[in-house]
Amino acid sequence: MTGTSTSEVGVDERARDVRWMGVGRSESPCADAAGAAAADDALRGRSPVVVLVFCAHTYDLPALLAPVRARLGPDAVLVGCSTNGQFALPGSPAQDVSAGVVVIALGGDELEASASVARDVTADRHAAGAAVARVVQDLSLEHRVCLLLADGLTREQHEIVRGSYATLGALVPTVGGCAGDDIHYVRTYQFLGTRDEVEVVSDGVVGLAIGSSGPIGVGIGHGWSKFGRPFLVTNSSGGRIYELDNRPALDVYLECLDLTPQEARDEEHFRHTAFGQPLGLSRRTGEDIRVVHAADFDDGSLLCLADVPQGAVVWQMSTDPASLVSAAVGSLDEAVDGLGGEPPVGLVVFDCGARKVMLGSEGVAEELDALGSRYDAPVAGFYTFGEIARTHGAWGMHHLTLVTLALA
Amino acid sequence: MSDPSGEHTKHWSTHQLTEYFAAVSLPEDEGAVLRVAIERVVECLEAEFAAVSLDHHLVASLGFGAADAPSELGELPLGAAHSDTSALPDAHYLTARMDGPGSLSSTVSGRLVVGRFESAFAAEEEQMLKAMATVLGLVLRNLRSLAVERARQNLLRNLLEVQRSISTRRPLQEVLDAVTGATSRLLGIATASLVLTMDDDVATLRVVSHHGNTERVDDPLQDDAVAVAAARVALESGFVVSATAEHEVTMLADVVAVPVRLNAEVTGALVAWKAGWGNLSDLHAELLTMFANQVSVAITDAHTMATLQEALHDSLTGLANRELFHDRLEHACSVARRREEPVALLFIDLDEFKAVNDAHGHAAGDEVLAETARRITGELRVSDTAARLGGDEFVVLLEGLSSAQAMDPARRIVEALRRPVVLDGHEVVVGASIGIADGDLGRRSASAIVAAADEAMYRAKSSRSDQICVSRPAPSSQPLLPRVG
Repeated sequence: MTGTSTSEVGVDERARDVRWMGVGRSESPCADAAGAAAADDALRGRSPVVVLVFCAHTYDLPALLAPVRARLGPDAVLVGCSTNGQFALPGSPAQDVSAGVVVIALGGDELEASASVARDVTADRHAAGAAVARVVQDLSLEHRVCLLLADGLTREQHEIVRGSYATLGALVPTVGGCAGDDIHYVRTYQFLGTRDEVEVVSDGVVGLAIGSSGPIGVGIGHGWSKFGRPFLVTNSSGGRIYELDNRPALDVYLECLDLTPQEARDEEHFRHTAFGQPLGLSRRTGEDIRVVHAADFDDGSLLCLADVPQGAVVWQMSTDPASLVSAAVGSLDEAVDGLGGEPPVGLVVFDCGARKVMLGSEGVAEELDALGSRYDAPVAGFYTFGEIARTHGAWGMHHLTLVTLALA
Repeated sequence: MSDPSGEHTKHWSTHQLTEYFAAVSLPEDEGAVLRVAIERVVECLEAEFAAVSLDHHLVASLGFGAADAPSELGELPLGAAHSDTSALPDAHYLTARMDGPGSLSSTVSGRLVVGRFESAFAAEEEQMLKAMATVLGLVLRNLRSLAVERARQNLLRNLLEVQRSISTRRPLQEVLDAVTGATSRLLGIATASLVLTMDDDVATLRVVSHHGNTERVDDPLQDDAVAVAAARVALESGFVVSATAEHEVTMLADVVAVPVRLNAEVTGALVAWKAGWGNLSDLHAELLTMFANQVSVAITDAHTMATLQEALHDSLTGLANRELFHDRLEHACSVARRREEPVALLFIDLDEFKAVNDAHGHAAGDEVLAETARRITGELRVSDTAARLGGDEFVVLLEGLSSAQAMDPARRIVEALRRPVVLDGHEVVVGASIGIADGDLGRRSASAIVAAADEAMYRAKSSRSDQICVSRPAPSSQPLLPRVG
């Protein structure tokens, strides 16, 4: 099987020379064949400034990345991570979005990139975020964005984003996502490399600074709304909620889900139900969503991948497939609106893995159809364990959300 | 999608304030406290910039990236400002002083500044930032204190309890009781009262919730009198009151009263005292100041406020309304029963109100009711509770008095209401009939007292010669109510 071919439409020749984006995808289970095919489709003979590689966690990663690296010039960087699925549009319909690899190539004289990686992030997430964001200081072009790829299983990734904000300040937007492992919760990978070498880590965070002479837009959409009555988080630590309203959090949540403890002990069943009824933290302009990923029957606690602060007020959240897809398109539109009227040369998307589970294969196909047909520009991205986007304010960690980066 | 609790979105601030408080209380060193504080401030207010200045030096900032934060940030005026200098990013700014008003002492003088591109700061956000600054100031000061850890944990736990009663929509009285209960525990089983009034009128200050040590031997009349008096001083001066009040016969109590301002209409004070407290420390006063601040913000929740206004306010007379009166009566009865002390109730009904209303119109009728309230209140002790139950029915709760002892104030009220009221230049005499009943040393329930006083009032009204009637003693066959306490 080869990578699907891609085409670039709607971008005039001159603009394509100064800034371009190409995407490629392969579902081949053979690592080096998959890497080569996806890279060829994305590059089509061009020399990129940076390539982003999003892939299934099951690949032999050095083997997958070797043919991609072999196609890079001496100054190009490679960044990427394992995922809960990936997509590249336009392209032939995916057999299985969870499988395969996607390569996104960015290039042109008026694009620049610089990247770095931090290891052992959980030792000091804030410091790691602050450190990798310093790559933005290497840029010289007017428009800038910092892209972060974090480990999806190391919790409290918002501390990484807080650290990056301390370095970046208000004027540089941030986007990104947390690496996945097809929702197995075992291990995820982040990588950074060049033509000559590549480093693959877990518990890492990769920072990629992109500079452009053209505008950069960021969009955020989730399509959820709260319902029911609020609960006070009376006891929590990090992402573990011990008590809601002074009762064991699990008891309260199971009542909300209308699940019996027996049903909830089936992990698959619990997760599928819980993904559809996340919790929302009360915020100034809406709710900050938290997905409950697991239940601990020993101490009656709930596990979220992100911080649920003690003292917070949370609501149940609900949605429907139409709202999810419409919010996804809204995210794209918001990003493109940020381009000040210039057409996008490409859109990079960070879509939540739990949204993928909720939508099911038909819903995913519908969402991808909507995303791919919205603009005359390639769209590619991956399914995350947490999305990163900061445009205004300082908060940059999101869940059950679709984040879009648009480059003009 | 419909959102049945949509009004809560407007009150994101009360929710985030608790989170902020928890987060800022955790770190052990000053640098981490500052970092966490400014991060949470910008996140809560969806702002881009924040900074803390201590003694006119910027000690922490966020949002300026690799560049140094401009020192002008620390020089902005208190309150809202828009940048009019090129030194600062073009944004809306809000500055709050770190020493909360009324704080007793401070070795740290500082400011908390926040800046936002998108939109100017709302009044609610200013109030929130003030509370955040007060908390930050206290946490910084406390870092140098030994008693800190216990106090911080204690404060947080008690604040969570108040927040919980609000967010789960407990009935108003439970919210208010959660406030006084938490205050009491915060200060180590002190007696605590929440004293509120409408429209800054200190004459109408009343205790809306009271939490006392159940073992205490204090006199409840004195409790309320002390609380109201301390609250009055706090409210009039705008500062924390800390005084040694003569309390009980042999003991002294230290009293702390901290002003609370819930909105433009409702103000008052959180009062705490403890018999034999001895040396009240600055820490106690500061804890109470901070707690009062938090509580002020927390109960500004719209639902709570609306209920509070309704619950406190008889808009016509300024007296307690039926609901508040019943709470007070229940409280008084349980105290009376426990201590086998008397409690008396006057049931007052105006004699010629209907005639005045018919002859002079509703506005005149309203004027008569308001004047009646003023005259009744004028004959009472500060600790007595007068209420209007509706129409031309008034009641007065007299704690510590038997029916016989209540004759005195009843006579004075009858005399006062016999004086003419001037309406449109005409003198009108309304007059009143009063029924008196007492708790029969704990043998009568609250509702039985009301019924007995009501019945006595009707006898007074029907016997034109006698405008005051006392309820006959309960028949001896009536079973005694169980004694509590």
